[in-house]
Amino acid sequence: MRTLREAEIGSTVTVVKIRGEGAIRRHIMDMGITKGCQIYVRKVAPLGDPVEITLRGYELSLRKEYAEMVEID
Amino acid sequence: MSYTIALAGNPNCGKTTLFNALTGASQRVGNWPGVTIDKKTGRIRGTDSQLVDLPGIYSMSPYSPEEMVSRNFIIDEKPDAIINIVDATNLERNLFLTLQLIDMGTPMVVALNMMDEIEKFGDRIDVEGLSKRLGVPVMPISAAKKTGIDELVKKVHEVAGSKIRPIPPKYDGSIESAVAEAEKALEGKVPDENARFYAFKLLEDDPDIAGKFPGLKDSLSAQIEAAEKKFDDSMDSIIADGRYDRISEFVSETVERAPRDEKGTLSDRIDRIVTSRWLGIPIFIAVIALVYMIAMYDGDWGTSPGAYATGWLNDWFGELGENVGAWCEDNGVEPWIQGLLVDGIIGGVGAVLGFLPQMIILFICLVLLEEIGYMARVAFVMDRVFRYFGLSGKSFIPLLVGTGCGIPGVMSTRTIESESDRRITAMTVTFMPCGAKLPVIAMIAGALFGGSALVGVFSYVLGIVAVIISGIVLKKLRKFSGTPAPFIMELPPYHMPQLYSFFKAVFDRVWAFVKKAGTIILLSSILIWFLASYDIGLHMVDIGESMLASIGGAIHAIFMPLGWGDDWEFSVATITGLVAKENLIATMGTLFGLEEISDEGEEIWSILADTLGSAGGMSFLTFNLLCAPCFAAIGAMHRELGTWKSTGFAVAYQCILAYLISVIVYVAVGLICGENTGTLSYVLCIINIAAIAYLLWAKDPFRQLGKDDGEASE
Amino acid sequence: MNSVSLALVAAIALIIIAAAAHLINNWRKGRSDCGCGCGSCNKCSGANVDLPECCRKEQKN
Repeated sequence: MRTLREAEIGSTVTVVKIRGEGAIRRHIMDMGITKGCQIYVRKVAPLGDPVEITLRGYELSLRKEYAEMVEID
Repeated sequence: MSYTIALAGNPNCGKTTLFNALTGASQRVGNWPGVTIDKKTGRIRGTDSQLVDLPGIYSMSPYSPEEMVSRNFIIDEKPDAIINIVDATNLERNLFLTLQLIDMGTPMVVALNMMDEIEKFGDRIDVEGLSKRLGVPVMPISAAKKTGIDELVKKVHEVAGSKIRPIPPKYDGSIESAVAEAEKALEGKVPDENARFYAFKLLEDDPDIAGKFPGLKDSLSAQIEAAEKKFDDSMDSIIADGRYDRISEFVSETVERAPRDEKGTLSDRIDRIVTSRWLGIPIFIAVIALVYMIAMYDGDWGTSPGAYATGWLNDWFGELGENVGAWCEDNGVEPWIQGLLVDGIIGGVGAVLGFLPQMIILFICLVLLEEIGYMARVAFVMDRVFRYFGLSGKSFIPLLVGTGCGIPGVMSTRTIESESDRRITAMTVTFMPCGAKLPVIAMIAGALFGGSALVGVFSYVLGIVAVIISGIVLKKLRKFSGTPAPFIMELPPYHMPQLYSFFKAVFDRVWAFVKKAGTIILLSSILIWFLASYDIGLHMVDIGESMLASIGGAIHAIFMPLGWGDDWEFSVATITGLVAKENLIATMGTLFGLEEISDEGEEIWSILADTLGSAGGMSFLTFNLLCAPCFAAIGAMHRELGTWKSTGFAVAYQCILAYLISVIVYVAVGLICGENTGTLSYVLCIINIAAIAYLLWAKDPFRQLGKDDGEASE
Repeated sequence: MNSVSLALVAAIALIIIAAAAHLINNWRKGRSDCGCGCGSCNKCSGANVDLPECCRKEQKN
């Protein structure tokens, strides 16, 4: 299964599942990254991290290790 | 009637602005019991009701102290009503909290903020329809423009008075049947009005609630299994999805978005360059260099406005001193009064105020960068660097704040969830060059390097490097070990600064600078003049025999390897910098002013250049940028770290690191500029490099354990 | 000591007292003399932070 970490810059992906458990998983969901949600991968910061994404009409920057917890189609 | 009303909302949605608009000046600030999170309360203007500002949160999860504080307040203190402030430009994510608040059953009003922005975009929101779907009154407002505030106050009192409870929107049938079952199981155990909230938390397996009712969740396993089977997912995720699905539905039914530019907004296009992978860091360095060029440059390409005005003002203060001196002699004023006036007050305060033009230009540039939103981009660009070294990206925000002033910088570490990260950041914020250090940078750049912008860039890079070194080294101590906290940060769009707030921010900083010169710097200058003009028997003597010379002579040996020459003035200046960093300049203004008389009127800053040299100047700057901050900032550190033992450790750490790095800088700049820095410094430099290298690469004793909780040290 | 000197001493003493009184007053009210631009502190502290306490208003009801 592909994760948000592997998504190309400029692509739009759909969330399938959130892995992991506890606070970080919960926080990811609270920020609106839930099943079926469309995410546009805007860019990657210098040095490769964090990833900047657009979802639900707002921008979010997310570390790659958390992006890895988001399974996409 | 007087009610207790809670104000809840996401971070960064205008909550503070609304709170201030509602309460005016009548606010109290304290801490929530047990945690160092602000508890702000105030009386709503024109009423007897108390407004309690809950911490900014995204959700009612139990994972951060902010979230715990908020939900405990609503459950235990039972406010009469809640105002839920919602950012209309970011409706979906904001409504996630709204749905959870609705479940808590407290009478509630949604304040739909930033309606002015919505109108500017040309979007339309069906407020009535949204209200009907959410089951709570929705009031459109603009906290910044102060519109809709009176109507909001009226509505919230109406709701509190009539105790109208929200009517929660319903979710998918299988979720609702599980909730109904959970509510039944909780009956009598929790207050009726909160039952729906408890039911959801029980189903989500919230560790706090589930812990309160052990075994209760097992009785719901049939419903949970049914739902999990239907959605092929775990219950907490089903509930979050369910909420967001409802929100998307509400938003698509009630919000009509005007078409946006296809290439993305202007903000997007700028960001594509400014935060790009390769250009991000060079652009940051170039921006800082440009800012310092405008403020300080004076060389082959001309004189910058800042350097020109500062030169003029310094000359003016010099002439003022001479004129006052001459006037005193004409009028037969006692010599000691003349000395106090000319060398003490004009010499000290004048030396600081002489930098005013450069400070104004620096403040204008730096405030502009903050206002348009560039500084948030810097955090984004820097996150990887910081994370690589074990500090969370959230640490970068206090560091940015710290470039204005270390005190709010230290205080803003409260937003960092991880206790060990928070403490490390609180200890390292003051490495960044704050506003009070800017004139010191300007002085060294102006006196020794023709106002080169490189000195400014050096100061920021030095601060960042010192933070990174500390991040690595301190993480190896037991009390700071732990994993970096999650970093999920929003990038607000660029926006034109509001003229009023921009000028106010610049004016406030300039005014603070002038006020400091007139109060604390003035008093310190008089004290320095007194100590430098009298001996222990209170006889007026030459500076060389003064009390200050004895004190300075005793300590200046410590700083010999840093290349501060045989003069003790620099050591004394460093000590006075503890009161306020501008004092470094004031002290030297006074002391070299006193010497000037014997040296037959050499310019003060050229004395500085002659005694220190390039290498000594840079090591002097380095030490003073990194060593213990002013007392006020040490006080702020103490409030965040909790004990004097921790604070003492932090200050000692800062001074030792400052010393180690200064020697290295001294020798390095000496080699570059061809100045002889002496055998002792060479030897110490090698030892210091070895010491820092050892600390950086020594095996981390806690990395293998991985799960050390990094609890607070006492 | 002549009259000009006396007048100067009085003026300087006044300035010192005023400056000291200002500092003591600030300290008692718990205001820090930081240069952070306290009037618009939620601005100076960046977009993701709210920091009301560094510009703590007069604490009365």
